[in-house]
Amino acid sequence: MALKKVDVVIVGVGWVGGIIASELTRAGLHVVGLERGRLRGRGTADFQDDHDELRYAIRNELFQNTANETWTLRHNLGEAALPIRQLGSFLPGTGLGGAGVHWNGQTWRFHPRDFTAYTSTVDRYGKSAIPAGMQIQDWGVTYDELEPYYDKFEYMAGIAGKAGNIKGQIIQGGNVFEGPRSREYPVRAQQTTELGALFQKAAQQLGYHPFPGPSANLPVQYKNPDGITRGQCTYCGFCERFGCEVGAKADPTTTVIPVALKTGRFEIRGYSNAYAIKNDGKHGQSVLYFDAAGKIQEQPADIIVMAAYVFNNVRTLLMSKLGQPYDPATGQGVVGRNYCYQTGGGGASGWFTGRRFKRYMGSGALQTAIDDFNADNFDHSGLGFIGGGSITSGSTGARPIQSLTTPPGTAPFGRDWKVAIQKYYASVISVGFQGESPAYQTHALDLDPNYRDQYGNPLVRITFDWEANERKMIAFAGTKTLEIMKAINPDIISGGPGSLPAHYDTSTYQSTHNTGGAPMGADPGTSVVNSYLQMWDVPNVFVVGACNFPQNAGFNPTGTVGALAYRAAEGILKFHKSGAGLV
Amino acid sequence: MSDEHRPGEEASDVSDSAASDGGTPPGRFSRLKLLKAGAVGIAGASAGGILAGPATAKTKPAPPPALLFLTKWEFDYVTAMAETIWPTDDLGPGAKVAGVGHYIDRQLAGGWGQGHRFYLNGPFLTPADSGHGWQIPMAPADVYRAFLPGFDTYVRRTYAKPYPELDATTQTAAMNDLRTGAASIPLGGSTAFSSADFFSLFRQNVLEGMLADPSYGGNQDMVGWKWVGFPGDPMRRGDVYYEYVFSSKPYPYEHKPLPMKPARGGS
Repeated sequence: MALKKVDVVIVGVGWVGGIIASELTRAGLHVVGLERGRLRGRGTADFQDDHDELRYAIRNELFQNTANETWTLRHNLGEAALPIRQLGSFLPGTGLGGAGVHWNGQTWRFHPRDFTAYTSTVDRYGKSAIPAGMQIQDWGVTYDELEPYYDKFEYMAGIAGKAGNIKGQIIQGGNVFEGPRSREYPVRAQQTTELGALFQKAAQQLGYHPFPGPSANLPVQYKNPDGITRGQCTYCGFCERFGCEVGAKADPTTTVIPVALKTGRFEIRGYSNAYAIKNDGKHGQSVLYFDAAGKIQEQPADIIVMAAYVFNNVRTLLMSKLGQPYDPATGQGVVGRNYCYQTGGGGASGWFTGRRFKRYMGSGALQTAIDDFNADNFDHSGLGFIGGGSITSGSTGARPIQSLTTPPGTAPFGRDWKVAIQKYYASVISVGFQGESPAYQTHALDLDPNYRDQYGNPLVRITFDWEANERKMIAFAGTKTLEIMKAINPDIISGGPGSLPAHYDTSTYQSTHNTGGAPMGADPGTSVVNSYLQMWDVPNVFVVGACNFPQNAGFNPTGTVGALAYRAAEGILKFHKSGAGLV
Repeated sequence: MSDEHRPGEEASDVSDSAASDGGTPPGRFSRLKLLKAGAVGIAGASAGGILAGPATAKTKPAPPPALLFLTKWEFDYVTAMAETIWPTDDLGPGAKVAGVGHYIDRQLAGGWGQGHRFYLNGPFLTPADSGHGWQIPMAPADVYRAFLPGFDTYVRRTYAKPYPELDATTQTAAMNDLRTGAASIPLGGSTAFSSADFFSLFRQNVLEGMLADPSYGGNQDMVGWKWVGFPGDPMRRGDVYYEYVFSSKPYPYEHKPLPMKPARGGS
């Protein structure tokens, strides 16, 4: 028997679910949030003793348990997909706040060009610049249209940074390549560590444009427009994969979720694992979920919002038979289309003899960046690839199990290795590259035919591999990071043209920036949702998150996810008022 | 935050730590006694120096912890192998002193070793190409149990003695056989799990046993942290990183780490 109908049911209570809940409940709507994980053990009070690298960073306390539910991966359409049997390449969160609890806090806006990646590429380089099989698309929304929502997210979260472009006026010291902002960041930029300063000086010397990386980790106390006050970062160095015990890191559990709960109109149910939306093809009626006892529950609502991580948003649509499933063999259909990732690699490292840096201090977004080789900020003529990425260096916290380092040629164990790890643990500088991941016709998400989760439902099957464009991009990136490293001038250098492994490897950590599968756009033939993240076919269902990215940019995704969530909330309120049709 | 822990209060920290710590190894046990007797002012004082003094003569060393998963034979094997990865030598302590064998024993007995977060449903297919990671129907504890006898057979056949009885140079050669995949071990030998895969798993476990918080049974007396210069739980001295993070000033506690705070019951 169905539960009592509510105005809105949201699946997943992380950044997206929290933001939408805070906006809708304050507008008077009654909202139920279904969170598949726990509600307790996810707040600042629970993280007082969390400086435990083994528990959180190695044994993955805050992430999805792959014994219960995982994904399968094949590198091409002809290969049998194999399950990802333990976490590796990416680390989706679970529990209240989702991955918004364990993120690093690196908070970017995508470039104006990123939202028109297809049109801008064709305009500048011609259609022939897009390799066969690549399927990049415009977003159906422009940077200028999204700007107010970026602004809203940044002021809510208290992002620290230095603007490089306010209303078209370029400001040196900020990111001079960014799109125009309506105003300065809400919080002053972070200071620079010794490591960041070395990078900054080298980049300047080479004529590049370094700036402090935008951060969700507060350098000073901040009160946001919702009335939430958070304190400053302690630079403990335990951000990525950890929760913040002082609330300096913006996190849904310390910002939007309390705001929603305060209205008295937001009910969150933990251990509630949604798997389908009951519908008649035109209207979503209710969300079906497993409760803590494994019993199926049905929550009817006027409006249904999918706010889970990329994979479960897409899986729920496929299991609900909502939207036309994508067929990677023909390129027809939309649900599961344009799955993308983040292209890492091409970094350089340098080791100093006899100089120690306090690498264990820092915060997840304490870095200096250049944007000179991202997006289309440089001329790609003759390079043989499109796209780019951000280049950064800094002090994001060097927990020792994950951060031992030795120069090339050091034995991997034994006395010499032992000497080297002591000598170099605190004496290394690295310059990293985080690149775009373009869409391809044959990269997709669908339901796996063989493997099941703990409830007996099919796992998501990922079809993905590295393609020639990204290999060329990473080779190019390696020459740039090496150039910077040479200018930094450490005693030993490792770098040069970067390379990607023979195949995408699910076992080593790269990035939890999985995107796509429910792309947004202006054309219902190539997108699942419109620019308010509302399903073309089923207007009372909104699907929101990084799943909406038609392809991934050379930046961390959370700033854009936050902006999309605020835009979706506005769309939902409009739809609620009108009662029918597309916003 | 941890307001009660300010710089200069390390002694009380260590008292807290040791007081709640049941089966502590000899070094820490002795130091607690000394701290209680007021013989030592600060935590950073060298344990070795204290132990050399007459005060410890009366102190009975705590017995080693019981084994929870490994057999004695497996434990001796793992301990000897861990010493090859991170040796105890004239430069400083290694895996045996740090208790890496006990760390691995506890990990294999616990949720990780028993595969609580591993997806172990079939079918188990042979990967067509690289990049698919763990693809066998075994949890890490099963892998250790299945792999070590095969490795023992290989080592005896190739080097005439069991691993723990080999000299350090030959142990290094045998470890390299694992690393390069040259040793074909029954569980390995296939593309699904090679001896090189076991080497990676084992080496990672040794690093954890050297560098995880001492509460997990390894990194005793924080020897791993002291070796690399990691100050341990940053909040144990209060919010002092502020004063150092943006300056070139050295942090004075790099080699005087503190472990996580022991749990306190509500009152």
